Formats: sequence, structure tokens, C-alpha cells
Amino acid sequence: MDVLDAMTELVLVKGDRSKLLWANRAFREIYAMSNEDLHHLIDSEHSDPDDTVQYVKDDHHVFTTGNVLDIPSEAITHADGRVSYFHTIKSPLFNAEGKVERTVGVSRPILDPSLVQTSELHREAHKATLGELRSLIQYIPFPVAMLDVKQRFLSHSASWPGLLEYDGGPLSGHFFDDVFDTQLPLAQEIEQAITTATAVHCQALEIQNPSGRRIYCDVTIQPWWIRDGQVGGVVVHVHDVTRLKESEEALKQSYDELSQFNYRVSHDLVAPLRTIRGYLNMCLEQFAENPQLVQDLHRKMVHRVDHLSELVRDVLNLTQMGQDNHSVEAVNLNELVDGIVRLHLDELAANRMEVTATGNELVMYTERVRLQQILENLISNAVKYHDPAEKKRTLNVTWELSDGQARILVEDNGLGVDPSIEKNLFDLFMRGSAQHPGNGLGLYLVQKHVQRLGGDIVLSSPRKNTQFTVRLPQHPARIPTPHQNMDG
Amino acid sequence: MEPTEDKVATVLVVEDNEGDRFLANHYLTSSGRFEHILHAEDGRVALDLFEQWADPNRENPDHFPPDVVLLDINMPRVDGFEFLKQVQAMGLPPVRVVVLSSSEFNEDIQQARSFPMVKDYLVKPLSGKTVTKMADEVLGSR
Repeated sequence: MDVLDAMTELVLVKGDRSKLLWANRAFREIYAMSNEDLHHLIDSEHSDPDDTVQYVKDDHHVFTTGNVLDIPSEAITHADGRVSYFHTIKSPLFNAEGKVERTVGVSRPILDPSLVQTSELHREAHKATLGELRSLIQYIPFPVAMLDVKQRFLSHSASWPGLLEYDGGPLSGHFFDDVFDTQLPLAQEIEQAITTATAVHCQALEIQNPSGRRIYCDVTIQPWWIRDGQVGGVVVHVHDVTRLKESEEALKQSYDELSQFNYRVSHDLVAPLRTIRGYLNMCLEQFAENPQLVQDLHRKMVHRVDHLSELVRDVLNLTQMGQDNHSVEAVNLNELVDGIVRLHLDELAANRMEVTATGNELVMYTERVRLQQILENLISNAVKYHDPAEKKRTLNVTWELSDGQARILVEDNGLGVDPSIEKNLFDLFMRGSAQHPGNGLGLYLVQKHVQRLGGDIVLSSPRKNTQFTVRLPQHPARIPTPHQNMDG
Repeated sequence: MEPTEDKVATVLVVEDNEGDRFLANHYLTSSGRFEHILHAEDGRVALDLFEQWADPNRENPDHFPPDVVLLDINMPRVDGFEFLKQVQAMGLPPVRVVVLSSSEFNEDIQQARSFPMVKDYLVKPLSGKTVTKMADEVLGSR
């Protein structure tokens, strides 16, 4: 070390990420810093950051190639602000495995005035180019970051921190993966772009932001070049495609539902027709011998046809459910419930069911057709699934308004819901039981209508006293369309 | 009761649709080829019977095991394919299954036939002729 300290040339040893490890006395005097001050810095604060970009690029070259680099002219800023130019030789230092572990640079001052002048002109041009690129990046109206070859931030656009919810202060000088490794692990891709000098594209990367919000982004990593034609670093462009991705997922889900729907509808339309065909065959065989049986079969066929008609009606309702052509209007809930109960009076009487409908006067501003179908389905289910063994069969509909939300309860003491299907109760074609076959569309339709009105529906007490609770906004401010994120 | 030469001892009908159960019962009874006709209203009920049979600590259900199972596919709770999967996994002596379905889709037919215990796939409605043929095949397989 004494020998090195005695030299007038500058001697500088650097490690990984261009971190300063040791400098001789000549260098320390220029920088007015001790080795302890310099240790693990990339450069001092008084240095020109555009010069630092060049140092880092040259260190990177030696580290990655293992070759000696002859730098004809390198600007170094003194602690007092003067700039001098040096001819530098940077050499790799290998470890026992033959890998470059450190670099050592030896710098001799350039004293020839013409060479100094040439160096100044070259440096000014370099700074102008870098300065223009940094400024451009700052003003680009989407998330873009400019990094050097060691993946340190040189500049970024104003929208970069916002997209990634970063509020940790200025990014310049920070290493990319030190700050964003968890959200955007791109170190390998960035390195690939620098090494190959070609752009790297990453599609639909999932990014988990600190708030927990998940976004999807397309990322393009594009190298940028210094005037000497070498790669100076990369520009990282992040394009938020979350809405597109969510639309794709919604579309896929719709497609899957449609496929399942097609399969089930074709079965559910065909099955009763086949049964009717079987009855007709029997009628033909039994016509002369057993007229009573034929009458019986006739009644069964009528029942099958009714069931089939109900299915076709529900399928039509389902296809119309997706349409947004229902207008919002004032709907008096009391009158609506009363009207639906009246429609079912014959059925209710035939099944000896007692109905109560209780609630304060409530006017909702909503789509009448959807609200009507919701309540009709729930009331009709309560009638359909009454318990024949129960002496006192009850159906209660109650409602109240609280914080701008209408809460409607439809409760019965019927057969209840089989626990084995409870969690899939609202699925398409989920039937309650074999004893009382529905077509499995009713509750699916109810849930879809509720969701389209911006509400939710919950089943509680799945055995006796089955209770469906529907919550709907009184006003339509937040009624979502299928592809609208509820969070805005 | 032991089966006679031209009668199958027991058939188990696994069918959720009341109308199709009625048709099956009519044709099976009127064919005179089946001693006992058992009914299970869906795959879950049928599985319960097989589980009872598989459990050495419990008595077999009456007239079990069946000589043939007439199995619907589309049923609530446990459908035909799930029933076949679970019975196969029980490791019981082989049971002959005839699938009776409304579906003519190739994928349903292929899926049913992928189970070794499925010997035939019939499309509804059932008829007297099919039932007689089924009885002949069950007896012929002994």
C-alpha cells in the first residue's frame, strides 16, 4: 500500500456494482475523502452524475468481459469543482475460480492542452446527450425509467412512482432491484437487454403493489446508447394492461359459462322430451288394454310439458338478463311484493301456506323487471320447497332501509337446503334436490340480477327457516356493467 | 331368492327423474325378467347402498349386490360419472352397469365406456325390447 500511496498516478479498486473499495493517496487527495469515507460508495456527491454513468459503464465492461480497458480520456471532478482529464487503464482482478471479483484502475493525468480541449468537447457532447435523454424521460406521460448498465436509476417519469405506489423518496442513484425486486423482478431481463443490446418484452406480468392491489403490466426493456455506440443502460417502459386482462378473464369466464350452459340446456331440453316419448310409446302399447294407465300417462306428459315450458321461459330470461336495456324507475317495494303474492295466491292456498309481508313504505330507484324476477323467484322457491310434513307452513317477506341500502328477507320453514350443495347453491344448473326438481336456473338468475343491480344475496340457516337476505342500493349510483371494476 | 334360468335376480335403477323411474319400473316389471327391482333416486342414495355393502360391519342391503345397475348420468348431488368413480375406488367385486341417458354426446358415451364396469350405453327412452335384451345379456354373461 505504501508503494501505491507513493505513486502520482491515481489507483482505484472497485468491487461488484462499481462500489469503491480502496483508493491510493493521490486519488483521495483529489476527492478530499478518506478510504473510510469512500468505502462502498459508487461515487462522491461532488462528481458529475453524467461522468459517473461513464465510470459505471466502463467498470461493467471489464467485469463482464474480463478484458483490460484502455480509456483514452476520463473526466474526474475534484472536491473543489475543477475537472481534470486522465488516461485510465482498467484491469480485471480474478478470484481462484477465474471469475472477475474486482477491477483496478490506474489513471495518469492528461496535460497536453489540445488533448484536454478535445476531451472537454467530447465530455460536453456526452453530457448534452445524456441530459436530453434524462429530461425526455421525466416528461414522458406514462411510467418509464432510465437505468445505467448497473441497473441504477438515472431518471424516471412522474407517473412511475404512482403506478408502483412508491413513496420512498428520490430514486436517482438507487439500484432497480433494491427498490422494486419484489414487485418487478426484472434483473435478469434487464441484464439480457444490456448484454445482447436488444429489447426484451414481458407480457402481462402480475404486480402486487404495497396496498395489496394487483395489477397486470406489459414491460418493454429497451437499451439506450452512448455516443461511442456502446450500450449505456436501458429504458424500462411499464404499460398497465389490468383492464384488458380483467376483460379477458371476464370474457373467458363468460365463454366457460356459455359452454356449460349450452351443454346443460341441450340436455335439459332433450331429457323431458325423451321422457314424453317414453310415455307416448307406453300409451300406444297400453291403449286398448289399460285406458286408466293411458289417462295417468297423459297427466304425466302434461306435467313434463309444463316443466319444459318453465325451462324455456327461464332460459329466455337468462338470455335477456345480460341485456342492459332496462330503465331505472321508482318502484314501490310494498306494492311490488303485494302484487307478486297475489299472483301466487292459488298456489299458496293449495299448499296451505301463510304469508306475511312487512316493512315500511319503501320506494327504490331501480330496474323493476330485475327486482320483480328476484322476488318472484325467491317467493316461488319458498312455495315449491315447502315441507308437506309441516302443519304450519310459513313464508315471511320483510324489508327495511338502512344507510341507503334496502335489506329484503325472504324466509320460510320449508325443506331447507341440502348442506352438500349449499356452497354451490347459486351455480348454474344447481338443483336443490331430486325430490323437488327445479331446472337449476332460478337462483343463478336471482344472483345475477342482484349483482347487476349492485347488491348481494346471502343464504343463512340452510335447514329449517331458510332465509335469503338480499341487499340492494336504494339508488342506482353504483349499478355496475359487466366489465366495470367496482373499485372504479 | 336365487335367480331362475331366465330371470335376473336384482336390478338397481339409479334415476332422479320420477317420470323416467316410472317408465323403467313399468318395462322392467312387465318384462317378467327381473325378480327384484331396487330404486335409488340419485347417485348419493345409490352410493350409500354400495357403501353399506362394502362395510363388513354392516348387513348388506336387501337383495344386494345387484346383478345389473341401470344408471342415469345427469343427477343432482352425485351424478352418474361420480358414482362410477367412487364405486370403482371401493374395490368391490365387479358390478355390471348399463348407462341409460338422455345424452347422445360422444364425449358422454366415451366417458361412460372408459369405466370397465359399464357394459352398455343406452339412450332414453327405455323400451320393452331393450329391457329383454339387457336381461339376456346379464344372464348370458354368467
